[in-house]
This record gives sequence, structure tokens and C-alpha cells, in this order.
Amino acid sequence: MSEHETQPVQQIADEVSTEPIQVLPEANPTHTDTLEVLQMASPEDASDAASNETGESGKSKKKKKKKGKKQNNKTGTDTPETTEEASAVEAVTLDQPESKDAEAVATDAIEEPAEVAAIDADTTVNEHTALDNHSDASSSITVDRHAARVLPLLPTVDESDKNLFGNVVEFDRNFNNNLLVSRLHNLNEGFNSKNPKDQEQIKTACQALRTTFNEIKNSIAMMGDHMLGYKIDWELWTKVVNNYEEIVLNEPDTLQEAVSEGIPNEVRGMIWQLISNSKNFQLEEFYASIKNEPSEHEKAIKRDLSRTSFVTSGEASSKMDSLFHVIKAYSLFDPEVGYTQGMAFITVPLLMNMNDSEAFCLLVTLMKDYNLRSLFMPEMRGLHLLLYQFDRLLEDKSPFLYNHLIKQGIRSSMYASQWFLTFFAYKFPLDIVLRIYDAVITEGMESILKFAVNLMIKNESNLLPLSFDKLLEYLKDKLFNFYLYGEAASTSQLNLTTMNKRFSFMAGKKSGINNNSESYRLNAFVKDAATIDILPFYLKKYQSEFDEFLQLEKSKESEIKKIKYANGKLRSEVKILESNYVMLDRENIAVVNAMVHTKVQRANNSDENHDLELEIKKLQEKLVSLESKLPASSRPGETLDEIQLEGSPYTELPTNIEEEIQAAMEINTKVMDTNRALEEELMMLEDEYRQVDDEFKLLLSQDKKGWFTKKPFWAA
Amino acid sequence: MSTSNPVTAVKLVLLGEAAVGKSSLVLRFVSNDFQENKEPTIGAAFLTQRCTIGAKTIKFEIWDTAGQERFASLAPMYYRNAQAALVVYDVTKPASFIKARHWIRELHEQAAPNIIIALCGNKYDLIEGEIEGEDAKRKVSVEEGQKVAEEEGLLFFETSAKSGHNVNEVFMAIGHKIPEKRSETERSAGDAAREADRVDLSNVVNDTQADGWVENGQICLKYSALYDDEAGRESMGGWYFPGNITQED
Repeated sequence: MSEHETQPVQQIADEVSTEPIQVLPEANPTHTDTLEVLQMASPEDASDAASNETGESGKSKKKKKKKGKKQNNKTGTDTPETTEEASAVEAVTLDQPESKDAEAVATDAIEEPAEVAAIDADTTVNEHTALDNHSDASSSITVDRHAARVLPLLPTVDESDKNLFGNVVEFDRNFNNNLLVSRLHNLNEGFNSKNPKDQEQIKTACQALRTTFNEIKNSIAMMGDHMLGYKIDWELWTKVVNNYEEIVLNEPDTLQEAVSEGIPNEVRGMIWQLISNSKNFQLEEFYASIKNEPSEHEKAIKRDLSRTSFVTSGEASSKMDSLFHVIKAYSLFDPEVGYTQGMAFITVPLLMNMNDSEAFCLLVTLMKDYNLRSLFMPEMRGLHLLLYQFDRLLEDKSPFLYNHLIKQGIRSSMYASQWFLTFFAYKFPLDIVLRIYDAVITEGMESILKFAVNLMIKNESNLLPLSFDKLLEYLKDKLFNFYLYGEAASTSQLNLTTMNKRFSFMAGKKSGINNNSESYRLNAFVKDAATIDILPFYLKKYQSEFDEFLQLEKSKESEIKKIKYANGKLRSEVKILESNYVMLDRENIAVVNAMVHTKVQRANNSDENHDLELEIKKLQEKLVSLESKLPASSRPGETLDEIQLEGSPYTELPTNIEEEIQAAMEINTKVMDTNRALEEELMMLEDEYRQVDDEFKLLLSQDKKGWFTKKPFWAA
Repeated sequence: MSTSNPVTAVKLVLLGEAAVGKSSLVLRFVSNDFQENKEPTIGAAFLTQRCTIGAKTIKFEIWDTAGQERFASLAPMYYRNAQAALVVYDVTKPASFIKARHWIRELHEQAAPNIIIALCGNKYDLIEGEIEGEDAKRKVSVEEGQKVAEEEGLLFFETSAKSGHNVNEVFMAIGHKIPEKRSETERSAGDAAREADRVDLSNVVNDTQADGWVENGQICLKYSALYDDEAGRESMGGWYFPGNITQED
């Protein structure tokens, strides 16, 4: 990992980013890996074109290179049509600097081929699937197309910048290995972001790994390759070990092919660690210090390990303690993730290839640098993203199947969650997982999508006629049967084989060509998966789509929350109003009650009054008749007392009558008084009533929400 | 399993803490089988089982979900359209009972309002015949389970996937409840809140009657008219109060 090589790349990226860049709208500006690669490629064309003016050397040199590469890919069969297309687009790009008013024309030129590229992109899908069957030939063709597709997006670069792009030539050749390059880029970025002390540590660790590698290499050389039963390409793997970056940039195809044939078991662990820069003595020390510390997840980990057959059967069972320690240590190391079911599946392959402290370091590296963490975090955002990317890729590569699954109501999360969370280990045997790991380590976590999509495409014809239940069953258990030997065997037999063979090769050392009696055509599986071209560019695009989607979902959720909250508030308001209403109602009723009572009483009183008045009248009549019986001499004006005093004949009039009249009169006055009092009281009550009524009406008028005026909720 | 019967598909989802025996319950019901140390479920598993209840054939479409908290973000997809849910806890693990109550709450909030929920206290075999005491294995009593089930309107069973105890019974009980529940909900399309308000109001009316309001027949009639006759109410200027009484004088 020479620093001097990565440094200019970084510099270039910085320089370029200050330039006006034509970015695709979908491209996330923060994830500019692809763009950077593209940008790096640009000045090469520019300088090619520049040198074109002085002489043909530049262009011819490049053409030579391209040819060389194609031969590397064993694609002597250049389709005339595709080369034409590629060079046509190339020509447009090359024209740019030749123009005198370079910048102005360049922007025009950029837009035009972008359209060409769009059309090109559409056709690629179909052609690609058609060509898929002839696998090898197709890949390089699509490569050129991708190159053509992205070239028009390049920014215009100043003449002065051109000399900065010294060794970017290599990047241009690596478009087909985009995941590989993009992974390398991430690796370098991660390395550069560390402080010098850590960088030194990583270098020391890598050196230690190289030493071990050489020891193993020498010991095998002493024994002779024939002991292994197959040959290891020591030249290549030594190169990988000594300068991974160089081989990624210069011989990506050789590397990818070697990886897809499987990293030799003898050195796999070392190569994984070297490629990922995982080994770290400090971290190993940390592991040693915490591996015996208790963790809150301890119980759950133990319980799950004891019931996971991937762990309990086969060779892995001997690593049970290490496995427990590594997972427990990780739960302590990263409390946010803690322990998630599925981690055991991820960790077993590591332990099969290195000791527990190294495995711990690699697990940490995978989690952090390879972003596996996002799969296991609460909410499992990374899983949902992978599922989304998988959906889009499947839609792109096999729209029929994609639509069929959608119509049947099958979501990728129903079957693919376990693939991604366990790197297929939940259902498939360890040796498959090891091969998947080879790809993941070199290309990043996303390469798992290749395997997933490939499995789906290979089973397309089997899946299309199935309906919901059968689809789920097939997706869960039978997808991998495609790669079983003896496909003629009945499905049930195949299932049996899957079960039996699951752990059969764990001990089997192998690399390169499998000529053992293994039940799976592993190489075919890995190679087929490798033909599924997945560009980081698209993955990023899907990611930004997914982020947007998530954002939308989140805002919806928060809106729902807000509405729910508001609803709750309104409900309590309604309750308060209702109770107020009930109270007012009762008050009102009480007033009305009292009023009615008063009215009745008043009526009674007036009746009584009337009776009394009648009595008075009677008495008065009686008085008059009595008076008329008196002698004429009597003076009507005199009072009774006077008459008595004068000793008139009227003295015979019994005094008790007079008293009686007096008493009646008094009673009358009293009754009249009572009556008056009652009338006053009535008046007061009526006033009071009117007041209450007014109050009520006031309340009504304030009742803006219409709790009272609307049709009451109970009267529906 | 006669084909002449109409087949009702019932979507059922299993929820509950990790390792309470969700997958084992399904395995017992679907295959009448039991495995010690059943593998932890990653993601979710789908199984189906047909059974005949009376004249009906019910096809259970069972989603067996992963129990670990971490996988909770995947669960809504499975219970969203489910007609029935089995919320499982382990009678020897009080924490799993708490988790079960969380699931019940989530179902009440997020799932279909008419979802049939059965609460299952699993691993009954571990405590069968056990005498209550300090070191008893049972940590969640029958009463506790029953109480929650009663409060939330759930079916309740203590089950054992290992012995098969009550396993079929749970599914049968759900199957029995399916049509009843449906017709009920069809009838009362209106929301429950409104129904509740109605009840509240009748209490109010009764209260006023208790106050002796009925003494005056005329007024009582007018008062109740408020609740039955909107037109009458509105003709009085949006307010129901017996105006003729106040205007009499």
C-alpha cells in the first residue's frame, strides 16, 4: 500500500471538485467515488486529444491499450457495431479541447452525448441478458459501453490541470471492475483518514501477515504442490499480498478471475486480512482484555449458538468457544449494535481461516469499513437499503420475474433478508459462504447482490409459473438447486442432498478447479454471479433514491404523529366542553325546576287569594245586608264604636261580628302581603332565569367549534 | 379436508420475544413435530396449514417472524394485513411476558382493528405439575395471562409445543372466531368512539331524571327531543331549551 500512489489521486479529486462539474441529478454529491473515477479519466482523454494535435502517438497508444485489454479478456470477437458506438462517443469527447472556445462548446458537447448514453443504457440491459449465456464475451463489450456512457459526464478541465493526472490511465481500464476499484478506493480513503500512528500499525500488521504468507508458501513449496492435489498460482497471490493496489489497477481481470475461482484455503485468511487492512495489534490486545468480560448479551448469544446448526455441526463446532468470545467481545466493543442474530453466521467463516483475535479484528473491519454494521443496527437500515438495491437490480435484470413477484405479493424482505444478514449461510453450506466472502472482501458488501440477483435470474423459468405459497417455498429452499450436480434428480432428492451435503466440504481443502465429487457447482455459481455487472454508480443512485424514500416515509410518520397528537388534544378539549355542557345543562334544569315550582305556587297563591277575596265579598255583602236592617236614624258615617257609645239600638249588634270582620280584614291584608311578597319573589326568579338564559346564549355564541349548535354526536 | 367446503384463507402472524417457541408452535401445528434447539429464525418464515372447523375449511397462512428486537422493523409488513395474531411468551420468562404486552399494544395501534389476537404462554411442559413456590420454574401465573387477555379482549392459552398441549386448540379457537368477528364488524361500521359517546349521554339523561326532572311531563319530553329530533332542536334557533315556558308570562 504505497502512499505515494494514493496521494495524487486524493489531490486530483480535490482539484477536480473545485471545477464546475456536470453531475447527474440522481448522483449523490457526497458519494463521488464513481464520479471521481470518471473525472480522473477525463484528462487522459484530454491529453490524448492534445497530443493528437502534435502527433498521432497519444491516440494510437490508447487504442493499443484498449486492444490489449480486450485480448486480456479473451474477446477477440469484437462486435463491429459496439466498437463503432464506443468510438463514436469517444470522438465527441475528444473533440472538446480541439475547439478554440473550448469551454462553451464543451458544455454543449456534454449534453448531447449524454442522451446517446441514455439510449445506450436502455439497450445494454436487453443485449446484456441476451449475451449472458455466452458469459465471457459479453462482459468486455458492456464495459466499453459503460465507459462510453459515463465519459460525456466529465467536467471540463483546464490545460494546467492536465499534468496532475499522471497515473489515472489505469482507472480508465478498470471500469468493468468498478466494485473492485471502488472498494480499493474506500480502503485507501479509510487508510488515509487514520492518523499516522494507526497507519504505521496497519503497515506493521500487514508486514507480519506477509511474513506468514511467505512461510506458508515456502513450506508448501518444500512439500510440493502435488500434496494439495491442485496448483496454487503463487505468482499471482504473492503479488496480491505484496501490492494489492497495483494488481487491482493493472490486472483487475486476472485478479477477479482468480478470486472468483476461490482464494486458496491455505492463504485465504491472510489475504482477507491484507486486502481489508484489518489486522491491528492494538485491537487484538483489546480483544484479549475484554474477551472474558461479561456482556448483557451473553445469554442470548449462548442460547443462539447452541441452536444454530451452522455452528454446532461440522468443523465449526470446534470453534464454538472462539465464536462465543468473538461475538461477545464485539457486543462489548460496539454496544450500539450489541448482538444481532445472524452474526454467528458472519463470524464462522472468519474463524475457519484465522485465529480468534484476528477474526475479531476482521469482524470489526467488516462492520465498520465495509458497513456491515448498518445491517445489524437497530432498524436495520443497511438491510433495507440492500433489499431496495436488490429490488432495483432485479427489476433491471429480469423485469418479468420482478413483476411476477410483485404481482404475487412477494417482497424481497420475505426471502432475501436472511441471505444478506447471513451472507447466505442461513441456508447454504459453508464453502459457498467462503466464496461469497472472497467477493465481499475484495468488492465490498454490495457484491452479495451479484449472488442474489444471479440466483434469481438462473431460476427465472422455475419461478415464473409459481404462485405465492410455492414461490416462497422455492425461494427459501430450492433456489440453490440450480447449482447442484445431477440436476435431473427430483426436487425432493435434491433437498435431501442439500441437507446432507451441507457441511461435507468444510474440511476439504480446495482452490481453483473443483474436481472432487462435490455436490455443488461452486465455480459456476461464483462465476455466473461475477457476470452480473453491478456498477457502484447505480448502487449509489439507488441509495439516494432509497434515502429519499426513507426521508419521505419519515416525514409522513412524523406528520401522522403530529396529527395524532393534535387529535388527542382536540379529544380532551371535547371532553372538557362536554363536561361543561353537562354542568350547564344541570344548572339550567335546576333553574327551570325552581321556576316551575314557583309558578305552581303562585297559581296556588292566587287561587287562595281569590278565595279570600270571595270571602271578603261575602262578608261585605253580609255587612251591607246587616246595615240595611239598621234603623234609618242611624248615620252611616258613624263608626260602630260611636253607635255603641250613643247607646243606640244597634248596640244589640253582637260585638263578635265586628271582631270577626276585623279579623277577616286583617287576614286579608296579611294574604295580600304574602301575595305581594310572592309576586316579588317570582319577579326575582324570573330575573334570575333571564340572567341564566343570557349567560347560556352568550356561551352559545362563543361556541365557535359548534359543539352545541351542530347536530349532537349522540343524536346520529 | 373436503374440497367441497369453501376455503377461508386466514393470514396469521406470530410475534413474541426471541426463543419463546414461536417457530416450534408452528412446527407442532403444521407438522405435528418438535425439535429441541430449533434454529433462530432470521427474517421470517412462511408456512401454511389447512384445517376443518365445522363446515368450513380454513387455510392458515402463517408468518413466523424473528423474535429478536432488532428485527422489529420487519414485523409490520407481516402483521399489517393479518387477520389473526399469536402473541407468544414463555411462562418461565417474565421479560417475555412484558414483551408480549408490548406486541399486543402495537397490534392494537397498528394492525387491522378487527384482528383476532391469541395470547400464548408457551413451554407449559416445563412447569406442568409443578407446585407453586419460591423456586418454581413458572414465573408468569395463569391469572396474569388471563387478566391481560380479559383486559385486551384476547384468546388465552397456555401451550406446549413440546408436548402439543393446547397447540391445536389455539388455532381452532382462532378459526372459530373468524366469521363471528367479521359479521360483527360489518354491522357496526360507525366508529367506536361515537358508540361510547352515546353511552355517556344516556347517563346524563338518567342523571337529570334522577334529579326529579320528570315531574313535568312536558319539559321532559322536550328535553329528550333534543337527542332524537334534530329539526326540532334547530327550529328553536339552534338551542333546545323550552322557550314556550319562559315566554308564557
